[in-house]
Amino acid sequence: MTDKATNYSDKELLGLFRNAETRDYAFNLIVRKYQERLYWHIRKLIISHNDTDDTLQNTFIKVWTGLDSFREDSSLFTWLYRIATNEALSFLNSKKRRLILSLIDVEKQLSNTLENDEYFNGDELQLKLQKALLTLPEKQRLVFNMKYFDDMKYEEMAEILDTSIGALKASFHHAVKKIEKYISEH
Amino acid sequence: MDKPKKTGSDLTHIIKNNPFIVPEGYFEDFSSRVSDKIHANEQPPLPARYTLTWKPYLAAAVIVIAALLAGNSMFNQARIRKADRIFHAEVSRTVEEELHSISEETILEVMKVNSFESPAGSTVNSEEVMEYLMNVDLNETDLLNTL
Repeated sequence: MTDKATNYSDKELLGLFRNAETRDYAFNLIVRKYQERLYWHIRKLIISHNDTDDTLQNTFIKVWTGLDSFREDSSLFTWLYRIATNEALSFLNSKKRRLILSLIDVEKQLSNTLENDEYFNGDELQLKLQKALLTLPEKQRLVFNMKYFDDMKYEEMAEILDTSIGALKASFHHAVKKIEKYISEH
Repeated sequence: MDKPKKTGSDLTHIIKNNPFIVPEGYFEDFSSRVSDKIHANEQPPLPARYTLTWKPYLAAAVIVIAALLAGNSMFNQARIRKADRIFHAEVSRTVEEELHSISEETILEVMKVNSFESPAGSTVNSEEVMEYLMNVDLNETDLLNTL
């Protein structure tokens, strides 16, 4: 099924989606084509698998309701990535609001989740890197993940995050410096 | 996707592959779970008896009925106001006629009952009577009842 999904171009998938008879089938193919990339993007921001699962489902529900109005000004992948990013940031903000009310530090809570996560398979250094990432502001963490882990081009990132390339380069540079400092101190 | 890659700068000692994993078979059934959730959230259409469709003749009928009710109400109010005016005019005229027919002795008797003393002692003129009536707050019906 995943092979079938990748056999179709985005344009073909959108054409199938706009046809009422093949709408469900096309949506299923779109989910299969992009689910893994979006999952890992969200997971690196949210850390917990269960929260990532919820957020990814919400992302695709938004995609289902909004795909009719997608005008193809950007690529389908960029549009999906943008929705996933917004959903992940909204989730983190709402979590922050909930935890602030109960006086719990969000970064500390995410760090604990990381240490006890049965679905974290990294070594000690990778754990340290993830913990260092949790000390960064969300936008900086997002930029670092997209550049460092996903090898994304600044042009693509600029389109997804609606930010200038210069700002993204500066953000990545600051993130690297902070991470190196954290790793050397811990 | 998860091939180990070395990073540039001082992060070179950290292998750049993905340290996170997912439960076994997670991606296999994800799309069907999403589809199920989407279709479960979609509201079924309302039963026919609850659907409200725009029917111009119904709207016209409602407007005509509302106009008739409003017109009827205005007509009734005008009729009531006219009947009130006729009644008051009739009562005023009757009272006036009755007052003229009351003898001076009767008026003096009423004044006596209500402890009125004439400044002149024995005779009163019509202005004094009217002033007295206004002072004791005696309405037309009460006065007629005393006759």
